[in-house]
Amino acid sequence: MPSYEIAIEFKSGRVTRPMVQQIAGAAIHTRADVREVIIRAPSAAKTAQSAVADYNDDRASLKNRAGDPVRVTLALGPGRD
Amino acid sequence: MGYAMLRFVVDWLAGATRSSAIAVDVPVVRDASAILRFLKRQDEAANALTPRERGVRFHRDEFTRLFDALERWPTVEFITTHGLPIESVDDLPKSADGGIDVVVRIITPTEHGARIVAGRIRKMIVSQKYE
Repeated sequence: MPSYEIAIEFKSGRVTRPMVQQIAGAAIHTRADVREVIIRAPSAAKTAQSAVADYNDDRASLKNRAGDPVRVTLALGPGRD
Repeated sequence: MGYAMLRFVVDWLAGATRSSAIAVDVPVVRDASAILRFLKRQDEAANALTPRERGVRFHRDEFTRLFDALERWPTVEFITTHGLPIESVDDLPKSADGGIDVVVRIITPTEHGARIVAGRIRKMIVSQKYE
């Protein structure tokens, strides 16, 4: 049966562009078939958000090892506290 | 003009030695609120969570909310990046590992169904509405 993998990373602080790149790289490196990366954090730098937009751009989208596009999403907002 | 001013000051000082001292009642401040606020701030700083503790708590809270929302979905399972199943929050990695915290694997009869489930999970996390 077809499977769909979502890699989720939780960050308690502000996410920066290098963090997005590291997380996306780690997801593809460790899970060859990952189709989606979700980063949950309280806030993110503008440069991190532009990195996500670049990854989701059809012309230069991030691909997993099977060649499928990998969607990257930032889920921003304060925690429960 | 300058001489006149000097004369006035000298005369005034000479007169001051002969007159009685002026009693000034200096108000004494007995308000300790500033000290109490300072002590409270010191106490809060001493008991504040370290960045690591804050990160672990955030990680556990967020994962618990997601896990509670999805644990009864038959098409969804949680695994580590190494493929080991995660059945509770205790199975999560205990410290930063530079990798991915958790992988949600969706197994459905069709690709379209998997995309729909993925969309619902994404919406749940982005909107922070775990229902």
